[in-house]
Amino acid sequence: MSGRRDWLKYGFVAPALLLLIAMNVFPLLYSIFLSFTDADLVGGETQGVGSSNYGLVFRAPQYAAALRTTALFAALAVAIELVLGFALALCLKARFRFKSALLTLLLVPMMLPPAVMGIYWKLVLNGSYGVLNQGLAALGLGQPQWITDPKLKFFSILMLDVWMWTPFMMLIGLAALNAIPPYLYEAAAIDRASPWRVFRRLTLPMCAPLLGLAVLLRATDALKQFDLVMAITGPNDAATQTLSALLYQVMFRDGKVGLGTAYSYVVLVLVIALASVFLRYLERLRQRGAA
Amino acid sequence: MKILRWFLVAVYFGVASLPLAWLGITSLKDKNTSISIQPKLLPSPSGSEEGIWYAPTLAAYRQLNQTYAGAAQPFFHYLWNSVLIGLLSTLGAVALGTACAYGFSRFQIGGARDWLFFILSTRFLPPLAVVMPVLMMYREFDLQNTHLGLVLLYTTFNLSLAVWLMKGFIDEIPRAYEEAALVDGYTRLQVFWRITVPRAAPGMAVTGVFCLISAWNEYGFAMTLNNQQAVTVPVFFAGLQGNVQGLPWPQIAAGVLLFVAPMVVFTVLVRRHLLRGVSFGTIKR
Amino acid sequence: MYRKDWFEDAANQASFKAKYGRDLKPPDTWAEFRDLAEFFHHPEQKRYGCSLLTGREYDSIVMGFQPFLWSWGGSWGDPATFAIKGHLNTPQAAAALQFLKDLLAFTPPGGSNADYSVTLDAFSNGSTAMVLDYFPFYPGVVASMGNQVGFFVMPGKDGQRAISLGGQGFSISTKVPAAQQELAKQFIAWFQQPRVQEKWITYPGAFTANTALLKSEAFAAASPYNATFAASLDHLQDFWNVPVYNELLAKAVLHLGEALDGVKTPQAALDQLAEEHELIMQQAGLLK
Repeated sequence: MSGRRDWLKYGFVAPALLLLIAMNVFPLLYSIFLSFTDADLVGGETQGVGSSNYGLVFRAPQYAAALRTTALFAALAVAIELVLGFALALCLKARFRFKSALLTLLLVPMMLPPAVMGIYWKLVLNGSYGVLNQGLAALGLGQPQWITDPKLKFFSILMLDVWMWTPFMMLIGLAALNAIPPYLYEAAAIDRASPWRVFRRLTLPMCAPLLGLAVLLRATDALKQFDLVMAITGPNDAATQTLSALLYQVMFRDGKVGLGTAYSYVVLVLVIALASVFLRYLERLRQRGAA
Repeated sequence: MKILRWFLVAVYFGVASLPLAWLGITSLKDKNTSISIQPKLLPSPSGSEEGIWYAPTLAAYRQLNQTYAGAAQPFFHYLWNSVLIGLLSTLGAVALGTACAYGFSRFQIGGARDWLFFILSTRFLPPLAVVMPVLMMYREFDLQNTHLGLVLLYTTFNLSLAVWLMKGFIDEIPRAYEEAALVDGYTRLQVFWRITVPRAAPGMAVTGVFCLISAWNEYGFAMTLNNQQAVTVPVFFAGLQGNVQGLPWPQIAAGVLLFVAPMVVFTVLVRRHLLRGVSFGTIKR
Repeated sequence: MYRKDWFEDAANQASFKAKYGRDLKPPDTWAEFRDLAEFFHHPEQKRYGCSLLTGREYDSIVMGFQPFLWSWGGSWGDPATFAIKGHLNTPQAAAALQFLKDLLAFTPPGGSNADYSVTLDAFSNGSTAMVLDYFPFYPGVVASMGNQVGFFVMPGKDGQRAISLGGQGFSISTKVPAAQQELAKQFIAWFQQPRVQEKWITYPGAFTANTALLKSEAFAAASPYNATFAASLDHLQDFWNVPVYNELLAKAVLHLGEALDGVKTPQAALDQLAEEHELIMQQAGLLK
């Protein structure tokens, strides 16, 4: 009967896998081909150019800059969101009235479209008629130019990302904290362990696998950062040009499809490499946790 | 200690909800009030315009029904596109994802770990890095600027999340019920449909909410593939930049509030299962 | 456009005459523009002299800088040889960029990076005296501000007056199938018929290049800004319209932006920009 069994089990997983292959693998293979041409967005004749596109990628200072900007953004965003979110989760661990109402409210920033919120924040952060600076002026404080000062633009976008995604980290932190069996805490109490000891030896290690997974998810999302940059500074701003913004500029503004796909490939290879390293680390964490 | 905790929560809550409150306040203004140099903070019941008070109006919400200058359609047309594309792609992702997760959970499939890594890795791809070949492919099959095109794409990219979330849920469902039913003569499909799915329903709801939020707010693909027809709300609002009548701030605020309302409603409906949902199966009960 | 009511206020007219020795009226030269901006700039009262196009998304800053570049005698390059050095980075061009930078002292906060909607909002919220923007943006302002707003042609310098061409001319891509190109040609032929243009100009913010219509009474009466628009047409110039214009634009935005932000001097910015523009032109096969 194993023949029928095989048909059945593949029947469950095949549709999803086929769709993923059709929508991911074929395009990726096609884009390898494109990256060796001088294809243009508008169409017309394309010619092979050998590997000159890749040469351009590695020589372009804009690419290195975008890598740095993206890595810095992801690292800072995830670090702040993790610390802030987990701290919030610790504060909200206890059961209290209106807890689920409060939680749902706290999750709302996560549900807003970043592409539109970015535009809206241009009103809030406007140096002249934006409410934030109007408030600061009323308090007698300075008037930072949040979205026009080249030194501040990056941090404004970072601030916005933190505002939107800290609730996500809080949610996962809560899930992790809730899963710790209460008897462990009771045992620690009997041993008269200090709150700091409890946190370091009990809470943190038990939450680590799930928090690690959350960091992975959030980091891969942060590395893709595009919507906020597009909305607030556009894709061509040196201070905030992330990899996705650079890709958009090269492919859709400059129209250089061949070069753009070469860029994309290098990005993809980087991301996959990072992800597999991190996943392996997570597997080890999980095994250690289970032991 | 307890007071410190509540103080921190209160401060965070205040700061985090200020932008949302400001969205509400802005949505009740008219255009000139929203860009006023003099801060206009509070809607006044008496309609006075002195100092920080302003006269609230629902005009912004009403105007969403009209076509803004230079736009092709009123807001609600784009909202409908978002609803259609969002719901269909969520259904697709949850259905295919649940089936796929069930397969990996209950059966021995060769190379399962590699497949699962492949599935997860699709989530790592920046949309902008993948969009060009997809665009070329869509041009070939005439899928650019269609609902179907985005539905397919969103289903695909939500699959990774769906499979991982549902695998966590399904792994938790004891096999005993299914084994018993199989012994009783039910087919595997019937077991899946009648026993597993009802038990996995809370997980499917949570997965559905996350997939829907992801598709609802998506911008990168929508902007590059569907910028003329089947345009979704984020692309519509972002496209208002550079509009000759300027940005209609109160309408944008009103539109965003209306746009996020369904997400809030759905999240409220599944709130009880949210914490379980985000454990991604790493937490065993 | 400018705040007509502020310009017509008797107290303003008196104090302007006392301070600058001439009548308070819309500027004809850049020097006059600067004086007017300085006169109306009272940041402590939240009143600002001017708002200029300096945004970094797409092309605002390039459109904003061009009139200065041309008025000072510079240009983007030689249209025949595509040579750029010696045209874009002359001392006059650097002086033009410096003049623009100095004008930022009279703009609202954030004026070094103001795109179309920010510039428009700065005027619409009643805080700014003069704004340099494109005509299609004006119908909404006229509708909400009525008699408070007046219009003037872009100032010039030493008799040179040049204005950024707005909108796009009709262009047909040679990379699309011939059938589509034919359809495009048919559309253009239909659109430029006088009877179609006569209907077209009745829509708010719709303009024409039909010279007969431009001189007509109907056009001038259709809106408060049409007469100024007609007067502007003789001075229009454009950025490069070569296939690689987008890359040229992107580089210009970056370097001009850095000059306005104070990261480098105007001369250094233009030198580097000329260098990069020539590189792009070479790669495109235009510059030998």
